[in-house]
Amino acid sequence: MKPLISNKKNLCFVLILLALGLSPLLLQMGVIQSSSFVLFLGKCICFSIAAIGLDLIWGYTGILSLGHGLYFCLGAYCMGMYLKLQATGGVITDFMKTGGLTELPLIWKPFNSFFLTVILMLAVPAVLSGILGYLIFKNRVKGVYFSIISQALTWTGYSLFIALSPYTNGNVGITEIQSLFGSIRGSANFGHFCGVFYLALVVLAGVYALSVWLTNCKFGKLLIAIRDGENRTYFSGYCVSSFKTAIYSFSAVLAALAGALYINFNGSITPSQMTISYSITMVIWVAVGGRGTILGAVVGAILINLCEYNLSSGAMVDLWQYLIGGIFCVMILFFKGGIIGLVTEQLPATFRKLKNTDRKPVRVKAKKEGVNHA
Amino acid sequence: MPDVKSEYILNIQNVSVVFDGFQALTDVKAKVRRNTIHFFIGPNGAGKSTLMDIVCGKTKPTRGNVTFYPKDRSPMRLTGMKEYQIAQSGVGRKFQTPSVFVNLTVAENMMLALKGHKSIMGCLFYKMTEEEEKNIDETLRMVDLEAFKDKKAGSLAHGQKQWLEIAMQLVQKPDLIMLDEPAAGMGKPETFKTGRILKEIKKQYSVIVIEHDMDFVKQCADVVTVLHEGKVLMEGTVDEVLEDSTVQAVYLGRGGEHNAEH
Ligand SMILES: Nc1ncnc2c1ncn2[C@@H]1O[C@H](COP(=O)(O)OP(=O)(O)O)[C@@H](O)[C@H]1O
Ligand SMILES: [Mg+2]
Repeated sequence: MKPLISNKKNLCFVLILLALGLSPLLLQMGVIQSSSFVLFLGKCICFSIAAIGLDLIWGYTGILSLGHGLYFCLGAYCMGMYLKLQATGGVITDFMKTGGLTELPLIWKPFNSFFLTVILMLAVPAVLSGILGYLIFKNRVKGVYFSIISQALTWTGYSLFIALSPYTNGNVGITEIQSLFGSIRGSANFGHFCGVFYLALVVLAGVYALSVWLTNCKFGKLLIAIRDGENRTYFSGYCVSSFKTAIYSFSAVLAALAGALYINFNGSITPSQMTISYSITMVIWVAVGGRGTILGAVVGAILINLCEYNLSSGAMVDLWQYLIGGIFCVMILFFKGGIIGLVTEQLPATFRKLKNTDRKPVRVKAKKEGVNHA
Repeated sequence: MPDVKSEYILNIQNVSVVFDGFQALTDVKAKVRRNTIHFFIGPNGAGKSTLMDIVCGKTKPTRGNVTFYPKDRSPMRLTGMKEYQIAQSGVGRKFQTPSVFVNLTVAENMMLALKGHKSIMGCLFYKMTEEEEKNIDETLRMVDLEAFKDKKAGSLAHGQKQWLEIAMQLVQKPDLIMLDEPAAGMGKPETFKTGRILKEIKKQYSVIVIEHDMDFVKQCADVVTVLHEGKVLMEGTVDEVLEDSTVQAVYLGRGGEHNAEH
């Protein structure tokens, strides 16, 4: 039964992957009219990657991070710095001149190299989250306290990036850049767009596969064990804090990866993605999709953003914020398993109950089943 | 000293604990003999669980220390070690309230309890050996949970959770097992079965048990230590303890009342 369900989930993921993969082709064939919609789907791929990371730490390990925007931005800025230098030909940018700098600052220099950019884009969030995680988890900071600290961290990042405007261009962020493959706007650059799109898709597939493997091996069981009973896990001989640090760091790297891909689609990055509300939005994706399943994170990220894409223009623009807040509350209160939980557990359970009221004789057996699923 | 090593598994030396000015344990001394089943009894709040917390590293003693003499290894001072290091060194503990991993299956619970592979790398690339699988099956058979192997631990009855937690201690083959009220919240038949499991465990392990149920104590105990208000009242065999008039006064006379609380 168990492998069947997880296979079904994997199948579902492959279908999502196919649908996403077909969308640029459909655009080319004229079936999809709007190129900005396909561009938006590209961003959804990035959001899914960030959501998977958040799901690993919150859904599986039970640590609610409300500050993953920090790592998303770190990845995005690293990539953005590389892309900016590509655009300026490696020389000092306008905003640096305005900020009073006369030559390219030292911390920008490594971003002339693509190789170093990739290394830094993963290493900076990994090391930062590793150090922070080590200090936080070693001191057994848990629950709400951790969530508050994570918010403070992303807020610190936000303030720093704004304060260091000669280096980061403050509020405006890094703009006027093209993607890794060159400009992606316009039908003449469709090839470039496909390059970025399929790169992101391949990364998502890889991240999904890695995460499914991770959650199915003993390591993943241990994450669930930590969520269910941290003390019991310590007393079973595991140094829980180092496991927490490891998964926190891994999820930070996934967020950074997502950010680095995102900037290719978006063409700019600003500190606004480091705000607390943006980090909380990521949590909502996971909550709605279904925490504790990798597929849930992907589904949630895509669906919520699809809704936002369709609703946040025109008359609904003011309502959208309330709507998403409402959806979040309803999900947390009534559908703990999110959409995935609803489809795989709650609906079948209701269905069985309905069937039982029809046919009384099978009631005893069904009751037993109900208990096992509780 | 070498004498002590062969004879005892655990030596609790003059342990005192103070919680925010409240003296939970006062100068507690106890030695646990190897391959015996040693009971700690006493009224609620006597400090029994706290004593176990000290041994397994959950609570730091204000004074005193605990030395552990594992088989074929040099003695260790448990005081000051981290709880996961103590667990890895071969001290297993079952908590008073059943604490199993409710969202994992019985088999997965057992897998996590197995000895070894406790590091991150060890967990990432872990593959269960046939021997370990046999060990899990045998242990589950001992507590009658073999049929529930693939059930979520959260779906087990209260008593079964207690047995699963006991099995999780056994499967790691520790040198010393500590069971905090293994029969708490169980009916008579279940309690009796727990007693049978304990007798089975006793054959292979050194065991410390906290229990309220006197029938249970009579059924299994080799040595009994009575705690009262954080102090050792007396220590002896079951009969010696039962006959003691002070013990009767502070504890047994009020036994019914304490049992009613559970
Ligand atoms: N962490 C703690 N902080 C403060 N007081 C505690 C703590 N743990 C136990 N106590 C107190 O110590 C006393 C002994 O508790 P305990 O060891 O649980 O007793 P029992 O013998 O019933 O297992 C109780 O009065 C309890 O309230
Ligand atoms: Mg107790």
